Amino acid sequence: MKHNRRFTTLLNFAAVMILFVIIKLILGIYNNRAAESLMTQICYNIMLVVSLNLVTGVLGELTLGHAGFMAVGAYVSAILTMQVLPENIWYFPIALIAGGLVSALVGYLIGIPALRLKGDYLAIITLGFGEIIRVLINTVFAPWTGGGKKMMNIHSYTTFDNAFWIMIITVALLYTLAWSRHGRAILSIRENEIAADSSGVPVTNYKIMAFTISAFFAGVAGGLYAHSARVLDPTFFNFNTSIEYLVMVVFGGMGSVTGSIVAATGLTAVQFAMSRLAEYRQLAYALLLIVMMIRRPSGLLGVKEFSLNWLMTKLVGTRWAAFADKIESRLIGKHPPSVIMPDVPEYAYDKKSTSALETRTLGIRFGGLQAAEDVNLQLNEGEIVGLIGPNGAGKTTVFNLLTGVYQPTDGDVMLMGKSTIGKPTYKITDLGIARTFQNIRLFKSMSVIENIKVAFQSRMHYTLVDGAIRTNYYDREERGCDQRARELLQVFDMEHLAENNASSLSYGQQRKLEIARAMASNPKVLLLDEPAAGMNPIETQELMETIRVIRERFHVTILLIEHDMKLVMGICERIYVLNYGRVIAAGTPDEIKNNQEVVAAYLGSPDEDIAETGEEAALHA
Amino acid sequence: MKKILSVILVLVLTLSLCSIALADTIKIGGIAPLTGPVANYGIMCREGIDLYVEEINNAGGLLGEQIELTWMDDTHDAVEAANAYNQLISSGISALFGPVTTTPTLAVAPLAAADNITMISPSATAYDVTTGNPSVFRTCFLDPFQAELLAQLSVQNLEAKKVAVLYDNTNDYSIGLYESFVKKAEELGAEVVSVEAAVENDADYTPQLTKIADTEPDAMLIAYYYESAALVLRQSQDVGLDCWMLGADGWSGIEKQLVGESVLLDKAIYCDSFSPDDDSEQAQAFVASFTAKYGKTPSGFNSLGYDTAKILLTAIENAGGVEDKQAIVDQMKATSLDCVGGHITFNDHNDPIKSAFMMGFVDGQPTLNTRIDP
Repeated sequence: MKHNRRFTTLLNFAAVMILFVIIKLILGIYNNRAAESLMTQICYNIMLVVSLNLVTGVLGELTLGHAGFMAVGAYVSAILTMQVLPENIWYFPIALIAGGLVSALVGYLIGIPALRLKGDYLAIITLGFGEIIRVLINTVFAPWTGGGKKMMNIHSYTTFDNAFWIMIITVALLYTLAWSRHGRAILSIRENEIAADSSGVPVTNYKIMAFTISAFFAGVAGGLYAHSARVLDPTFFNFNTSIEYLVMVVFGGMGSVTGSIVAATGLTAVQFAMSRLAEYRQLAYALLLIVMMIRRPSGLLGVKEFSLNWLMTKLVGTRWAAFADKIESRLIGKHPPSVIMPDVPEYAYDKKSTSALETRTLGIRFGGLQAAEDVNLQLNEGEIVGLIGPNGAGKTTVFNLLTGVYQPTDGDVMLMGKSTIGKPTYKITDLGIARTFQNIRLFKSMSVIENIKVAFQSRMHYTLVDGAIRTNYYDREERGCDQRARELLQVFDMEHLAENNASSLSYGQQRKLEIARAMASNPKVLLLDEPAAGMNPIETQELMETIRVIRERFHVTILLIEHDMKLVMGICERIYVLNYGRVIAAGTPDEIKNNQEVVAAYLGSPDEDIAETGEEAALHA
Repeated sequence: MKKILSVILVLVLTLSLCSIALADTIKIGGIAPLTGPVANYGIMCREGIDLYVEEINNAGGLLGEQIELTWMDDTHDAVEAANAYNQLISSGISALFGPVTTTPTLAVAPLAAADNITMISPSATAYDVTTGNPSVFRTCFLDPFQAELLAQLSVQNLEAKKVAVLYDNTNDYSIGLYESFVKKAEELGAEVVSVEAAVENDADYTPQLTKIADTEPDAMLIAYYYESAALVLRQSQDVGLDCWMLGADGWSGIEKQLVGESVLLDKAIYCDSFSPDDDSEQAQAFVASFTAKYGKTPSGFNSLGYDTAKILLTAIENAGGVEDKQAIVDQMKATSLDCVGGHITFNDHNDPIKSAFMMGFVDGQPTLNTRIDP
């Protein structure tokens, strides 16, 4: 599926222009002030809902303080136009942007502590923030905001025209952001935070970024609100207002920009039309929401997006695609060369080191529990090494220590002679350790190819701005990334599934996709956590082939945890055996098979509790 | 099922959008919070206005034409109110009742002034509502006015030497009352011994009340609306604060919060714009017709609504119709009417000059204590 970016941009711009002219004509013909004020209100409501959607829908974090950001933008811009800047509408954009920036700053400051927390905690913190903002406006900032006495007679700078174009710019920017590597990263966090982290996505940074961007646009929308309402009453920016915007996001479908726009437009218009129903409006509105949520629990559009190309293809058929291709090639001439990322890692080895990965007296203690102790592993370049042991022996703990999910309490991890201790997971991925998970962690609602592209994150460099305005650099890197991702899928024989949803894959394919994703970050060392779990013998056989192929193809060193002894003995050159967090044996498969201590650990020795370990043996026999 | 539902929905929306055009009517709009947190006030004002309009229509209309009154809900929100106003203007109204609360009124007033549409709010108390808006009027008296009367009452009639105030520093109504009360009380020679601030709906005012009790005031202004004021009265008794309790018109309806605890109201007095006990001809006629229509005794807000309608419709009548907008404004300014709330005229700032009613309680029922005429 080819994407004609410039053509699409042109098409969308033309559509927006036509929409604007139509609305202006209708407003002009009817000369209806009510309709104009409704349209203006819809414009800034769309901005608020789309920006909230970025955090709640795309990032997947529930926030209950959006009205607080709106308030910051509203008051800052109103104070600027009323008390600081000269009285001229040309200063209005400055005031709006300033409102947005202050709001973004506040968002950033709240985001740093709040976004380290998850789920309900963030919701409560943002709820508290919304209230604090209101109280501050009422008390500390009252000399400027008027506090409970309200701010009034604000210049009526907001018109339908400027609100419309500011809204279009906002939506366009948030949309292009969503389709850049940054948007992909944010989406992957919603899908699976741990997997995103292990794919090289700096999770906390992206969360704060999304939160800050969201706050910025909410602030700008607040400025438009202030200069439209012309009265600012702190009580307006309360919990209920935040909830109202949240309802619109849910109504439209969490994560769908189109859904947000439709919901903001529809619900604002419905509220407007219902103001005559007086006592019954709340009832009617509530009924509408209930019916809607029962009929479409995932919102109007779910996660779908509307695209003109899609619509035209439906209407005109394949001729549309041909037409699009023709225009695109006219527009762009020849594509500038793609930025192709290297296929095989080129890492500088520390001179003294000969091993790819090495641990020295590695250990971790959780309170009183010593989960791993004095673990010394050493992996030579290009080796396939097994890590086995009974359940609860600490194998996954070792993986978590290697990837920085846990910080060790003792010892050191050396990747190509350099310590990785203290580095966050995404940095370690960046440095060359990739992993898969015992229980598959894919970005389920994303396509197969998008899953892979997320892991290219650490190897791409275009900035937020490149992504938002789609510079040549963005274009070249994205095309390079697409090409590499498809090549990688080819290696795993999954290219034909590229556009499918990850959740639609079979179990075996999901396992393979996870390995493919791990390879996308171009690792030096690949950690596989029970890759054959749940596979049938044929699939396991295929998996062994794949593991050998990727070792040859990508020059990667592999450490794998596995209970399937056929696989372990068949593929591993060396094996470490772990029990009670300690390495009890190391050697070639044959040495391990004949090691008395290992046999005792699996089958139980006369001194140990047979009932427990016997069960283990039965499981893996 | 789905079809029926959508058909109904479409019908409801269409009906609500199309104003049914009748020949020979005077179109007037009304904006009030009919839903939301302060719907109570909006509905009370509307009841009063509806009653007067109905009386006029039943008696043959205004200048021979029926009055067509369209109500819009503003939910106490500035943008909703402005939208409502724009919708009403598009449907061709000649004058406007409302809005009821301050924020929406501040949003609508400059719009109405720009269109030179006469607008009269029954109850928006903030001073700036009418400032710079010559076609905007109000029926209620201002917060400073009633606060001054309360200060006067406590110092002169109740002989209070030491006064205290409990108010909400985030609410302009409360701030306005507090500032004027303190100023007037000091002017009259009383000592302000204690001023405490607590946000309304806090539910627990004991810390503030304990501090106030320590200063042993003779009278205390509770600058809250009736629900919170009732709580304060209850908690005052708990902390042993025993003095005259004073309130402004926001106390209207407080007795319903304290059924069975009427002893708490024995030393309470509040200022209202109307008393059902008032023996004036207008008041008695209003109480009778209101009770007949709604089956309950009218409140202060009901009376404000009724007077609002009377003032505006009389001005339109004197202007000889709705064609000349400026004539309506001029007739409004020239108002001199006997109303339910006493004789009303307007000052240069379009604020009414009218009577105030000091309400005490007998067995928990509000009873006229003193009527103060301008």
